[in-house]
Amino acid sequence: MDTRGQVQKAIDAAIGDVNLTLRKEDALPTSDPALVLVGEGGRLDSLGLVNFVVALERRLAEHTGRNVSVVDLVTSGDTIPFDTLGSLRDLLVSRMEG
Amino acid sequence: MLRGVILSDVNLQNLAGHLENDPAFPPVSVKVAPFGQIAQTILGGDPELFGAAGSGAGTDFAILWTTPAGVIEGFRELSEQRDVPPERLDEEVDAFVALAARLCGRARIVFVPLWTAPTWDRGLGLLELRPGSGPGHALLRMNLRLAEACAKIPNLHVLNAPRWAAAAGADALDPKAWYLGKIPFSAALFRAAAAEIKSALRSVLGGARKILLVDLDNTLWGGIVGDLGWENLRLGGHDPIGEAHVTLQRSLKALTRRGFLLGIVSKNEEDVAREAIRRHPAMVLREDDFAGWRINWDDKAKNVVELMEELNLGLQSAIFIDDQKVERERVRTSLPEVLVPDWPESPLLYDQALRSLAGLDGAVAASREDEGRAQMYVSERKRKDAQKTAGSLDDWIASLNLEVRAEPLGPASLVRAAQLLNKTNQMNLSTRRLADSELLAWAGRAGNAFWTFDVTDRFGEYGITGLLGVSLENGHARIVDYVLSCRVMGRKVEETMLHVAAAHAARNRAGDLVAEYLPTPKNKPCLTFLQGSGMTCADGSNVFRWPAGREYSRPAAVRLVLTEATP
Repeated sequence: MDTRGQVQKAIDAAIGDVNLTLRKEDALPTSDPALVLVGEGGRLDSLGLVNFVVALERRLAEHTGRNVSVVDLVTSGDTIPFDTLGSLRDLLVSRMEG
Repeated sequence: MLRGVILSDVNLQNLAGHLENDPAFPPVSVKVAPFGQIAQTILGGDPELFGAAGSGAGTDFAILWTTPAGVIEGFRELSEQRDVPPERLDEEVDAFVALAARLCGRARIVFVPLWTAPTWDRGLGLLELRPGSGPGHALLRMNLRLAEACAKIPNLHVLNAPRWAAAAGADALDPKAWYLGKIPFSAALFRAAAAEIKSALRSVLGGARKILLVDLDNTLWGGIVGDLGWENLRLGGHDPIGEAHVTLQRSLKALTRRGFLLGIVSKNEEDVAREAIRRHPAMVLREDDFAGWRINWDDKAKNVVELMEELNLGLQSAIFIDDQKVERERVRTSLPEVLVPDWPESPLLYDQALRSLAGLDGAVAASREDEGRAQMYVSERKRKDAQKTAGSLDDWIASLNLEVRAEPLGPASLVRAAQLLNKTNQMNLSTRRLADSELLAWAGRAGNAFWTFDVTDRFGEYGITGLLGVSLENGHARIVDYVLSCRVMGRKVEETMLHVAAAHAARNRAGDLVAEYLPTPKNKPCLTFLQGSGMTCADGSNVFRWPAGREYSRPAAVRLVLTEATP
């Protein structure tokens, strides 16, 4: 499986982890690149974002065998460098392949 | 849907999500108090969290889960290598328990998980457990004091959080989640905690499993008794397989001492199997350890249903253990209420499989009746054998030498009485549910009287199986609680309880004795009894009356020992 596919699987698994902490009606869909995660209309509140990035780091290690600090992505700058699930995936792929 | 509240010095919002999403019974809805405001929340009694007083939307359970350094200032100082006398830690733990006790006034059940240390923290090495200065020693001391103090408070239960941390392993704590969101624990630990809290709720609320139905061949013993004969079974001796089967039997025997029942569901010739149980010298379990059995060649699912009916237990009370996957699948698919755990192929792993079953947690408020439950069912089996040889029902009841001991509710009977009040569905007039403290308060109120009924017969003790609450009000005596365990239904205990109620009304010169039947989907047996009790009832009404001053005869077959209650 290529890096893009591995990252997508890790993101889907992380969304599954986050859904365990959300009410059923608030559960996030997987594999929807247009899903807005943060910012205007974002589906993750601050706690959800923490849960998501922490879960995603672990899932990326499982699915790609590499340690990627997603936490750094959301804490190092003034803004979060992604908004949708698709833009997050592309960002991660470019970091890992770049 | 049970309503719960979580209080903590750290962010436990994730636990609420895991509890609500855990599919295990009971379903829950959980609110989380703002973290770090434990005392304010408990003392202030925020109606948003706990429901407005008298609204009927009270809190069923609360979880007070804290970090040791967050609530015990002395422990935080000790962890920073400052001198802290142990007595100061004791005082702070006592103050924390006092706060937890206040929480019991806002929730029917309160859980307090033990304090844990980070699993990755190596501490002070050899000095970690040194009395007086070692944080590890201090934590053990604090947890022991916490557990002992909480045990004295009804409805306050300590949970074994260090086990959750062990289950979650090295990932139990997540520093990144801590710094980003003050979330102390990982998802793995929250999952383990949610499962244990659900199990604890089942234990407290009476949804715990009560009986283990076990297979014989290659489960209780090694080999097939019908082929080998009992002399050649692998059981005990210098044989790892035989030793493993004995270990399993010892664990099962220990469960009976905690009040669990055992039953046998086995495809075998009954005579052959029972001979093995009676005669094999290494058998730990004998016939008297089993509440009942179905040993035949019938379908096991059918046998499970029949045996549970015979024991008057619901299928949701049962755990089915069998070495044969096909039998497990048969029972699992046809009787989904029965818990059918996966079972290892190797007998060397049987005992581990048994002892790791969450379904064995059992009732927490173990009363004398719980502990002796297995023996009561064995007595019941013998009782039924006697019934088969007796003549009429009256002859049989007369032959039982029934003694009913009616005593006012007191500290010794409180746990069992509350348990009976909250679990009994069938012979229950009003299906009123009260916590221990609420029941005791009601019984002590002026004009109220509350008896427990302890029943014995020539085969053994049933224990406290009946409850009667009577309130003198508005010129009559109202039966508020009329509760009888199905274990003694149909043995004239019902009439004996009415006799006590009517005598109490007459003695206090009350007017009519009144019993209002409040229907539920399960308490039809109570209505049936009342309709045949001799009490009068206007057409279309659920209110039954017995006229003032008239004696309600005590059944001749029952010997009543009555201690009068003071209204």
